[in-house]
Amino acid sequence: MAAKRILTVDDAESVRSLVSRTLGQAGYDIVEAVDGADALDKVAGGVDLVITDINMPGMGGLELLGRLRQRPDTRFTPVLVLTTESQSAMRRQAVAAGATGWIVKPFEPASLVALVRRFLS
Amino acid sequence: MAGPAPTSLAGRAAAPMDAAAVLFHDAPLAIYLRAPDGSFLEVNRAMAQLFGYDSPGQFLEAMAAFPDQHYLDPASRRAVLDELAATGFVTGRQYQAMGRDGFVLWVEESARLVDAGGDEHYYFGYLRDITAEKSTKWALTEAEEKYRAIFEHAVEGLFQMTPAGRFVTVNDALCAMLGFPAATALTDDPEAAARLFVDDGTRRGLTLALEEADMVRALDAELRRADGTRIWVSIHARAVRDGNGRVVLHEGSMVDVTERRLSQEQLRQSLARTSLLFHQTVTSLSKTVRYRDPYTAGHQDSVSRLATAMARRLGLSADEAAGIRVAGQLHDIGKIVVPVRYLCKPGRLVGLEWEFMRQHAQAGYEILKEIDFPWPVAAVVWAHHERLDGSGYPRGLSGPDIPLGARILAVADVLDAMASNRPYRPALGVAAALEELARHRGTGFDAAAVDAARSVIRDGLIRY
Repeated sequence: MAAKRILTVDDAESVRSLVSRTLGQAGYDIVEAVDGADALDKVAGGVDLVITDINMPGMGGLELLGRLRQRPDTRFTPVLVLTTESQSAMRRQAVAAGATGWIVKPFEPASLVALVRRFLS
Repeated sequence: MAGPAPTSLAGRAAAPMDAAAVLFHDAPLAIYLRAPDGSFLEVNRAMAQLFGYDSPGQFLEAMAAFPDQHYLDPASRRAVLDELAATGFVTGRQYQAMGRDGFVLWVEESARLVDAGGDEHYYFGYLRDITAEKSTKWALTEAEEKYRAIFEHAVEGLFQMTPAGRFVTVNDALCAMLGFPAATALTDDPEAAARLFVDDGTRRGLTLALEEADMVRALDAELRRADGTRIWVSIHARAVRDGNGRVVLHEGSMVDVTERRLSQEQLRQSLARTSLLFHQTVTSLSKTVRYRDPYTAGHQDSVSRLATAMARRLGLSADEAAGIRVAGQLHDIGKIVVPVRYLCKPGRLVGLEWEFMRQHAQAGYEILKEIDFPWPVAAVVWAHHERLDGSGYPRGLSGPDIPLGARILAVADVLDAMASNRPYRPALGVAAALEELARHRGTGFDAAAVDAARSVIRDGLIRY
């Protein structure tokens, strides 16, 4: 079976590489995007899960969520929000927009892998 | 996460009350009791709510079905239980856990073994939600990282230096611009910034300006590079003050503008040369008539000066006045078509002689019209003998059809002619000239131009 493909969306290079390294070691195939618009270009290849930041220059995470939910090919793709936002109002907004899960930075590598496994098993 | 709502004690007044149970359930901290095998015996409301359950009962049910479900990483559950078994307590263990709604939070867990008497043991523990603390700290590091990336990758030279002239931080772009191999070459030398400025007055000016205005924009300064070569930079800087309002730091950017300054200087020089060449050419052209009529060359110079002064008095711009100055210098250039014997004739011109003389305005136009002056020089020369009432020549234009420059020139021309000696008569004098102009003010000559001539002569700007 081919490795599951995960798209990680963050404007901070350090976070992208941290996510890539963590999930890459766990055997996933990782695609990186620097903002929502970049992510929309890159989901076209087909991804199994999206991990996105909320606050990004250009298109942010909430708008990306909305767009993903409108596309037939990504309507049911699990989307995890990985952000420094811990406000419950923002959380409710993300859930309403179709977020599957929410994890605040920083993340523990093992926890991220466990969380991703839950959605991809 | 929000703490549990306070229990309404009023409703339970009749029931027997266990103070410990009330404390346990109403405590804002998430508290649990669990068996040595890890299964939960009891949790309080705060614990249930921390993981998104409505009641302790719901939480216990969910955990009974899937014992480790709130531990994202099974290893962290194992680690807590192992340590409890080994030592009897855990303190401040931090890990990530997941609530029922898919929200992953950071918790800090502490627990200890409780001996309930006999062989009975259980663990008593509590959890603290530290999600907000963790994320805030991380957000700060992320912001710092972004700032550092901007600082390090900037194309402009960025710096922070003390008012005394010691560099505190500099980026790679600044080092490269100043020819230093590394930032430390600048920051380790307390005199580096002070030595940088070719003119120390510029640095003192910068310090003073920041002290007074907090901000300096586009200050050009000449700097010495490491190898002794010099560059010009444009500095943007602001002052950073301490709690007492004292300036402790200058921070800002420098951009190398050496190329721009060089090309500006070259452009300025080339412009000056072109301008000089232009005026030399006009003067030479003006002097060509001297070989036929020495009087005319001097006359053109005087009319040019007088008309220029009048133009300024009339409020024309410096550029418009420059156009009139050139037209004045060349207004009689057409006289080279007039036979010398008529030009120098001691008496009045008659008949055909006069017809020849009148041709000079048209001829001047023909000579000048192909030159692309930035002003309408040919048109003004063409019309400098026209009169407002249509009595002039060569075309008999009237009023507004005569260019303003020509109307000014007409007054200056007549005034200078009457005030100077002519081959056929001695000078009539300025007073007589002004009287003659006044007689035709508004009919033959432009009224404002006549007034301007009177005023520049009265004020002594032009003397006869």
